Amino acid sequence: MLLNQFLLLAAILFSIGVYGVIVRRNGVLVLMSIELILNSVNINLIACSAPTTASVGRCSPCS
Amino acid sequence: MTALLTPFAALAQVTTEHTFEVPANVVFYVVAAFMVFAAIRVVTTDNIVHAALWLIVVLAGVGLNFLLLQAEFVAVTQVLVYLGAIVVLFLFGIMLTRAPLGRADDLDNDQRPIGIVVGVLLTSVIGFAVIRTFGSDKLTFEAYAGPMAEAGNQRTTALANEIFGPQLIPFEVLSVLLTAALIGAIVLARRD
Repeated sequence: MLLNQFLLLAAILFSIGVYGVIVRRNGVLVLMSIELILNSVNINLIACSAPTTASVGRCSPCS
Repeated sequence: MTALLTPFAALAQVTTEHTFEVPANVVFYVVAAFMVFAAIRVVTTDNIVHAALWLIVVLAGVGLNFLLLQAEFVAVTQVLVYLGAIVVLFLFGIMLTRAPLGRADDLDNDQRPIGIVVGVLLTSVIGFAVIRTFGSDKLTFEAYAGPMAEAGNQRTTALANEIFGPQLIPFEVLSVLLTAALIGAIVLARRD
């Protein structure tokens, strides 16, 4: 598996969440969009800590 | 004859290798398609309860992604915290506030063009940067035999060592911050 496919999925989810924050009027729906954003960030962190044994999200362009 | 058999030889090599690359990719793309569709439904549906239910699909997909990335502990935590607590919290919040329970026409404001432009721009900029930076970096996983194998527990052990070792002080600060937020919410909610 490529690292990119997880990062691109996270980018798409992030953009959908930003769209929701901009468009939605109801507060609960804005919070749900923020949850989308937070979860995409979580995917990023886990994907970036995957190839190495270090478990902190050190997202450096490594090997 | 050899030229005819070359694809099959490659296929045989793939199947005899002890890897889960191909099934993991298939699972990833199916889950990713479901997640993107459900996320779009979350931000476009005109029923708040349906939005909360579509959010379950996205969160479960994120948990499956964690499993694909061999972060079992984080996946289990995702299911417990998000599917078990956050979605229930959203549903209770919808029921306890004056949010419209059925279909409602006034959930969106009139900024949809701006939202679409910002979303597409963000996707393309982040996508370009990610592809430019990481290119074709591969994830290097070793397959392990059985759930209790040594390699399987390695990442959870590393996570625990990291949290309760070098990252102990940020962890404790976060705990204090959450407690402060909890007390603040109680103080704000009491109308004495």
